[in-house]
Amino acid sequence: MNRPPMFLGLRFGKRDGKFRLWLPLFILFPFLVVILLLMAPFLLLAALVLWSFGWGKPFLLFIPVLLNLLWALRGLEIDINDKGEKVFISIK
Amino acid sequence: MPENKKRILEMLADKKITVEEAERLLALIASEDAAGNAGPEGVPGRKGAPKYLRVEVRPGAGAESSPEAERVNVRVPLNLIRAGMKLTALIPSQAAEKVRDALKEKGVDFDLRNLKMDDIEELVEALSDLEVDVESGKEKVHVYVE
Repeated sequence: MNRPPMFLGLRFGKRDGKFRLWLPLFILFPFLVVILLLMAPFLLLAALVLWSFGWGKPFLLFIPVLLNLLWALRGLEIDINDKGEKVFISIK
Repeated sequence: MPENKKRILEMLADKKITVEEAERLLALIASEDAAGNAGPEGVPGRKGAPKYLRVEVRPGAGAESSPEAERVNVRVPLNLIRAGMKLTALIPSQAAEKVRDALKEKGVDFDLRNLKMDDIEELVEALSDLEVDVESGKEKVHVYVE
């Protein structure tokens, strides 16, 4: 079972001026759940409307697939150094 | 690994893979069998299922100490490939048919809907033996799975 990513780390900039961000993603999850619950009736209604056009099922599957994709990002690490300029992205 | 061999032959029968690809996969299984029989520990760094695809770009000989040299270190979870493949479930049948037709026009007879998770798992497993090492004058590129 995949675990969701808990932290996002970002670092940009040159040696002298750097932008650093360390974001605990787990803090955002309760908000995400609340937003999803609030949107659920509207999403179901939209799915019903779209069903006749053949887009209902993909529309309903979109959120679980998107969450699965987000979960799968855990472990992603990008570290690029080019001419003193650094980009670092880490999802843990 | 008779189960894997059976699956490869089934994929070949279903024309999902070519004879050459089947040959390569069977050879891979044979080498894995041989490695498995060689010792309980196996080859170091090849144990368990692969988890990450690593791409490393380092400066070549002579430029290693230069702070201006380009360095890239990317680690992509293989789960992302699996999750990405699930996106095919979102393609509605009309769109999938259009994609199939467009691919056919380009000479690729392939239907996304025929792609099964088992096939992807096999591909990901086969990736464990992937290792690309390119060395030009300026840079060294190393692609591998860990």
